[in-house]
Amino acid sequence: MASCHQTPGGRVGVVQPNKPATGQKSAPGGRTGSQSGSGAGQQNQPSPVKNIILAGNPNCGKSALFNQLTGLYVNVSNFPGTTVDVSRGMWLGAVLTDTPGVYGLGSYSDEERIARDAVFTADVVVNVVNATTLERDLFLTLQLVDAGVPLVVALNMMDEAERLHLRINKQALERAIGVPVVPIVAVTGQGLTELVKAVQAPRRGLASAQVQAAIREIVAARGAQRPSQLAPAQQSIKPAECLLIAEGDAEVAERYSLRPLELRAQLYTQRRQRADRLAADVVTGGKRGGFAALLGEWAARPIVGLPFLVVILAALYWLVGVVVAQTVVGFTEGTIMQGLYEPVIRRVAVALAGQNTVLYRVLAGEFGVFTMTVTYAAGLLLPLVAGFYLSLAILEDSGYLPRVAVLADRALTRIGLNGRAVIPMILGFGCVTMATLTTRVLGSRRERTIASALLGIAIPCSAQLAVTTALVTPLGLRATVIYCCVLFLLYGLVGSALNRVLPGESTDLIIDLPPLRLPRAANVLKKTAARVSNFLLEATPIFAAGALGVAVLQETGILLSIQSALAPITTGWLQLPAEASRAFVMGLVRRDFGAAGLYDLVMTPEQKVVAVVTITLFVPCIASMLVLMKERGWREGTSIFLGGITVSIITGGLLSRLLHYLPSLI
Amino acid sequence: MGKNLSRPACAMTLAQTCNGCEYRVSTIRNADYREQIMRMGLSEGSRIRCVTNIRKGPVVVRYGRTDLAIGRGMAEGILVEQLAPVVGGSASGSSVEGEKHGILSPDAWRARWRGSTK
Repeated sequence: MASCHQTPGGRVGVVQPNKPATGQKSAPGGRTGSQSGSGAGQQNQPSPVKNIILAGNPNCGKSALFNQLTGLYVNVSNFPGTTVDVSRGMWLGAVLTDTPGVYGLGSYSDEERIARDAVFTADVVVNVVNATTLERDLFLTLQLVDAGVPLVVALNMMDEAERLHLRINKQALERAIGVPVVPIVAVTGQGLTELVKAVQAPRRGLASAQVQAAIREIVAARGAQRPSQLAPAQQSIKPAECLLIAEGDAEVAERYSLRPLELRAQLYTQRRQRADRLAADVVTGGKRGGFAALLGEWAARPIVGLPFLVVILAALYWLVGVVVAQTVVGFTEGTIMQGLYEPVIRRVAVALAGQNTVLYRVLAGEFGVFTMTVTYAAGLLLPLVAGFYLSLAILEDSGYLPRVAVLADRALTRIGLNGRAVIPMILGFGCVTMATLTTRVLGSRRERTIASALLGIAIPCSAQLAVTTALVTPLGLRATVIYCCVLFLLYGLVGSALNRVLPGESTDLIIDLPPLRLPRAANVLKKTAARVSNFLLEATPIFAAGALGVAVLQETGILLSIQSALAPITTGWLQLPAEASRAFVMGLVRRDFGAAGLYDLVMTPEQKVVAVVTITLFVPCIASMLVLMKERGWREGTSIFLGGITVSIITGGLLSRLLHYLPSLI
Repeated sequence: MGKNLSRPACAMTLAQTCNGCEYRVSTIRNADYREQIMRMGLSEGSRIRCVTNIRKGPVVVRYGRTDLAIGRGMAEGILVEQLAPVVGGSASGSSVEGEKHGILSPDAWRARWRGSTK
């Protein structure tokens, strides 16, 4: 936050204090519905702004603008639906809120409700509009105009529009909607100084006559209500809320004990026509996109797209599974950590605690807090997790993921999902916890349940993949293929089982394909760095605590009794060494921690594959369990948890027998 | 075809469109979907081009500069009328992109391949 002074907004913000900061507090709250219907812009007295909301269609660059304005970093990608929750920062001495992208205000989804309610609280709305798809984006703009909110339109991606030879008549657009329009390029910060000026003087646009009439009707209905129906906290109704009620939003209507009107179809049609006409009037020129547009088109066609996908996956495997997992990790873990770091720590520990005392074992023994924890976190996980996140960031920024959604749609409909679910699934390979949050982009409760269960059971997260990669890839390509096939098979089985069992209907795919872009190095690196440091901050303490816990269990002998108690499962059913049960206990803390527990067990290749498959399918980490419980409720969460354990043990045992009878597989 | 005389003879659903052909959206049957995609810029009367129609999978349509992928089920509920008629089995007219970018668009490939095999 301190860095916001480096942004243009910050600079202007510094000059701002000469404006009166007092006596304005009541102004926004004092706005009542009765003042609203006119649509004649409330003229701009320079009042200090309190609550600025960024609103716009998905993937129009709200988050990029947010980052530019606040100096903070929130996730920016090139696919619709990256932001599922609000982020807040300071800008111009006001609270700036980044909202999830929506195509209109309404209550079709959770994200829409979030964006809608943010708009209700806004003192100024900055509507971010993609200049290259103006026709589409103007629907929301016109809805915001109809909603009577103080508005500024930020015409983003002007650089891309220029490349496409699109000319946009800014003055004509301003005249037509009655709101300031500022051309910007959010990623480079171009035009932000003008945006700052415009935000000081936002305007309510010219609402259509029918909307004004509808709003008057609702305000009158509100005025006629008995005092008992007036909730004390919500005495005044805002024009934006009136509009939503007129468009049939039952949720908003309920807040004011009003009945929603049924004007949605009519208002939407009119607005769409107005947007189309407006776009036709103000946009001229334009040529076809170049190479990237054609590549994007090809990439969504199975005949070229599927081989292309295979090539991309192979490249990822080579980068992470071969270069990072073997070469880089060999150096960081073997040479640096075990070769240089650990001997030093052991010597220090001996000096402090004496040879082979309890304290020594806790500090620097097999599960030593300063040996195992640090070696795993810094030597093994750090490079691999960074590798995964880097690949993910490149994929996310390129705009390729929605094409994968198109290609995968047909297969995913068989397990009750649609192509859109590809995005949480792929993000799950980064972090299952984060991905569970993004299941909110899915259309129905049923899909969210299926996707969360699959994420919890069959998708390994980057940290876990890191350890898995380090364990399995040295066994050769066959072992890797077996591992992938088993996971894939289970993914399909669990998915289709849930699809059969769960009631209701899944929704159809509807996703907007953004143009393919060359990922911006700065964003990719920033995103990777943010995620990696997040990971380290979150994982290291849990790792250390887990190591401490396991060391205590071992010293007190409890670990041995757990091992013998679990022996029928580990040695009997899974045919693993008895010590493997330790890894499962550790796996309850974090999945990658569990896999790390397997790392220096002496096992045959078959046992390694079985152990890794079992631990992958085993329960997700504590953080993702908590998110799962929060998102899906404790009943579903617990079922997924228990289901995961059952599935993992059954699969592990079956695989073990399969590999036993067909030893030539590995 | 011709079963319902009140509709143009070429009425079909979006799920039956061919790659590279152009259409006008005539009816969107499901009201929820209609409002949802209307906000995304696609409404009754819109002129669209079918970019990709994946067998048993989604249909990608283009209007303006937006490419929208629509799932099979939804596509089956969207009625369209063909604009540029298909002549001799290959897409014709303005929809075929030229070779100015160095590589051919999928439809140009198709047109060329069809031409060479005849």
